[in-house]
Amino acid sequence: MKSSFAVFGMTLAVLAGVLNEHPVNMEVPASGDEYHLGDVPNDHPVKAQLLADVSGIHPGQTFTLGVLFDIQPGWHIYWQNPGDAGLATTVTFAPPEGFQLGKLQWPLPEKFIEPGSIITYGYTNRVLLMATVRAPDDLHPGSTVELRARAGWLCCRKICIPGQTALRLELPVGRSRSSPHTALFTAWRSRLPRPITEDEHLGRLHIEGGFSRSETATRITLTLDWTSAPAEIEWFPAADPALSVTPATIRSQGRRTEIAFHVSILPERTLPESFWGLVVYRTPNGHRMGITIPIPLRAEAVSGTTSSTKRRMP
Amino acid sequence: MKRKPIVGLAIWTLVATTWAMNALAGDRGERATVGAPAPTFTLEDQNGRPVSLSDFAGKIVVLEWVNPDCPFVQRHYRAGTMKRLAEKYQSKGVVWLAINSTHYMDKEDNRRWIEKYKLPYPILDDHAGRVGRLYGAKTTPHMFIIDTSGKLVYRGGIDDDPRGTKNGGALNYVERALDELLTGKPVSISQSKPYGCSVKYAEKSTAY
Repeated sequence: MKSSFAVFGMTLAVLAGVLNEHPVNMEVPASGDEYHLGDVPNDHPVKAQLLADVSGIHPGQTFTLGVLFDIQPGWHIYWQNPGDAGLATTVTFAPPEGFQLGKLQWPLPEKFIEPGSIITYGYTNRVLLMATVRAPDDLHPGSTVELRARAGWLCCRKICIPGQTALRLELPVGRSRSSPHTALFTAWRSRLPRPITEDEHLGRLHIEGGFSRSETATRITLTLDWTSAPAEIEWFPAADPALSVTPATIRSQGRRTEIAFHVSILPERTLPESFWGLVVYRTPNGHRMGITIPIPLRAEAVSGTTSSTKRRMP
Repeated sequence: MKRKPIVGLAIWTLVATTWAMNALAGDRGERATVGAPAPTFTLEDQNGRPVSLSDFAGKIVVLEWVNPDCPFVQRHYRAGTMKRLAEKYQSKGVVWLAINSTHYMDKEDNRRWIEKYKLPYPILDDHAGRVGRLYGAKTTPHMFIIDTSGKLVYRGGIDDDPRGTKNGGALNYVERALDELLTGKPVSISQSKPYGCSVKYAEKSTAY
């Protein structure tokens, strides 16, 4: 598994060599107010660039924008749920009017355990946070489209340093052209979590638990029956400001995995309708995969919830 | 007859809440649970003087986990958040103790931070991390409030503004809890999610 990562890293390094060619990518002064934590030094451990998977767009085209974070060795930035500490990375794409912007897509995070049982979730080395964009039908061929994005992050090693940047990317309107970054986007798309219906290794999911009326705490148990036993099963809960979620206990036996954790409603907060988390695993041939698991929180909606994926149990 | 279900519900809610709090803190061997007596400790301040929680029996005590290297802490100190609260409530008998569990810092670092911001409270040296682990302090800042009976009545963030973008519009949980305690009311928000840098604990720490 280490070797597959090394090969992957090399592929990216080769791609990085052509990053400067085209399209135009430049930093503009940060005007965002996502972070008021301090000044960013010049030798900041994280560099961010705005990229697209095309180098030219035609009217009505759907393409993908991404902010690529290059993180110096030893440092990490955070997932959408930073965990016990840290701060979620932010990416705000600002395409011109008429463009439709999809949701920000987060590749599978890593889990960090620091002394003092401090559990956080994030990324090391490199990550591409993406969103799909649909261009309007009335774009004028020959014109240029300016796409903007803002990114903010907290990176930590021995200490933590915040960073933010405003990014700009110009794409010509005309015929759609492939980009030197197409392979990079393909590689990072393969590291996105999949919906439960598209997973090939999970046969059946059963959820127990949930809040009955006026309850403030519950224990949720996910029972996963796999079509073939995966390895290195991890659980990444989503962040919800109204909830406190304990670290999960994960037990696997044969093709069955049980993931259990407690969820409590914080004082003066109301119970959200649903919650979600990622089950991440490694397939027998070494690929790290993830499934997004939606979890209804009301007991009447939960208990006995069973989802069968398109694959039947053998 | 009519009151019974309500009493029953109240007791049941109390049981459920207590269980919830235990579930929140209990899984990681932490002993600082809201509603339970706050764990006692003795640490040295920036001048080497021992300070014990029991020195302040009968008083409201605020514990603040601090790390001068953490940008969240730096932001709050530049804004004077902690100093303003400590000064505001000092005259009302509230004791403010900052605790530094950063493994690579010592009393000299704490003294410098106090001098830099002219702090009206001590910073206790916990570079071994024993008290931090005992309380389950996860972040800097991470705040705890102990009431006059020695019970832990709040654990969580300083406010609801992790990114520091609310420009004065943040809800300061500590200020609200202290106002409630000083007017004889129960603390309405007894727990919140703390935010900040992780506490930079020493790799290994002996049990306190």
